[in-house]
Amino acid sequence: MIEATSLVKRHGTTTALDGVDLTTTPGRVTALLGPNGSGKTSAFRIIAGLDRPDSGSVLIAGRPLSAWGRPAAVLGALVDGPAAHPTWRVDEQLHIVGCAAGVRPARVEQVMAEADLHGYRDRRGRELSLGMRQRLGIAMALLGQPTALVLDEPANGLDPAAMQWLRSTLHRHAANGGTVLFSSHLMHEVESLADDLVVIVRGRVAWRSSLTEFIEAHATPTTAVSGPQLARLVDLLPPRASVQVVDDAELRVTGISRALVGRIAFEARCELSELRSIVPPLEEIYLSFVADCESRDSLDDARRELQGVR
Amino acid sequence: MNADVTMGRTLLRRALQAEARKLGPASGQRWVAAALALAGMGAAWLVGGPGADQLGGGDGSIVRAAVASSLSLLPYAAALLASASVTGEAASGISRVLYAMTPTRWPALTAKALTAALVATVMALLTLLAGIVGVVLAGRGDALWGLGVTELTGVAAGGCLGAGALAIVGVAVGSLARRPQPAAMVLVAGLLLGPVVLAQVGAVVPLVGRLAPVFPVAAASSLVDQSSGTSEPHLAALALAAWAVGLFAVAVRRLRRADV
Repeated sequence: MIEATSLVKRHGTTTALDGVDLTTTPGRVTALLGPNGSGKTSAFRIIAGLDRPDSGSVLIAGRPLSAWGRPAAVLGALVDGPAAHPTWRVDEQLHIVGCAAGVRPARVEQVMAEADLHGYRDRRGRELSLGMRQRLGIAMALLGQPTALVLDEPANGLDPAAMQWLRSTLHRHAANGGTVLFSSHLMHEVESLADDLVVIVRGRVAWRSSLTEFIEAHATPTTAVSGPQLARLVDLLPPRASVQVVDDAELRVTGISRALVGRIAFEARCELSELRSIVPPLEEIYLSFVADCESRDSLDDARRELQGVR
Repeated sequence: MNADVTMGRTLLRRALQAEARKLGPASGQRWVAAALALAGMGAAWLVGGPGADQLGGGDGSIVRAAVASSLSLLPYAAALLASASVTGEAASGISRVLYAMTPTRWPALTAKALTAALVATVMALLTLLAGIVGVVLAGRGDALWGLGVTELTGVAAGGCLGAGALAIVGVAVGSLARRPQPAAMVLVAGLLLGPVVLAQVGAVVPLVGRLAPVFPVAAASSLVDQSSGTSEPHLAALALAAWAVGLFAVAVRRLRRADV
């Protein structure tokens, strides 16, 4: 379990994190989302112990990372892109990191097989593609069999087979009671991986909930209806429902639930051939949420500036 | 407190194991060691060659100068190699992975310094051996054995101590600069140009001139060539230890607080 409390991090005059509270739950995969420059990587770096926060604290499984005798068994991290020494071979990189992590050579071989790196074991770091370096970085994070995984954009550069491996690895990790915190700009990956969601905008946590709750809270519920008596159904809908006709054969109803549309049609003996909910893609919901947050923040900034002028 | 010490030792042991493992792929170090040995052998052969007789001073002092000349490049190589091993890892990002596994960080840097000092010591011994071969090839084998085991052991110990201390200086500078070019520039300025500038200023301001022997390379030279007369060996050893320990302490302190 990762517990970050009131994290503040400043880089010169820029505040990267402004009182970020973040908690992940064992057994669940949490996505940390936010636009570029919102503070995700700063948060990851602090959690991984690479950056010191100006204030606030991070506990991994109840203690600071530095208080653990074998930190690699508690936290595995891939932060700031994959790291690979240009002149070391793949197996050397993993064995060297394995020594620092305090794991046996057999575990290194096991991880190399899991990450499908055996075929590339003799390649030097400089000879690896982005996708291979990414696999290597994820493999390094997994070496110590950590309870918590922190992965900053792990899907970058991965091919479909590697993506499948990543998905199954993270799901298995969570299913075994581990914690996963990852970031991604690929919303379909977030949808397929995440159970929970934390959105950071301008260094502040703008939302935290389960993925389902986020979608329910921000997606406009739309019901698609088709059938031979659509004109009759439109007359029966309450005034708060707004209706859009698509291709003269389908209605898109918003403002009321799908259940209510179905009940109205049933009570009026109005024949329907289709009644389904349409959920907008996560990307659309997320972008509109972030845009709302940013415009709200801009307004707050403007208000503060005006108050300062007065 | 006891738990902290035990944990520190465990982390240091793991960091040392990682450093030992890194020696496998470090082919660059082996090439540098070979080149340094060859250069040392060549220098000893040249300095101990027939032309040296015209300078006078006797066989003993010629052999001393020849052996010392074989080690003349060693302090620079030790410092630059050690620095490059730190900055190379920082530039590739692999140090991030290793520091994440050693959050207190000092064990990682200590292991790096100890390993660099050990590598420099081995390089010093190899270079000295090559220098001895150079002296023998120059036809001064008899004079060399005439120096006696004690003096030769002293030169070997001085060479190892100097190289080891400069390797620690290199690790400290590499850790403070973190990028290869700035670290190399600092070392070139501090080890190569600094003493020259100091000597020039020292010609005008005697007090500054008196500081020259405590500069790292001058101190390292004093340890292998007492005839250089720059400073007493024990003072040179103290000066080197102060440089190595002082800079290393600054580097550890900075690393503990810095974002990596």
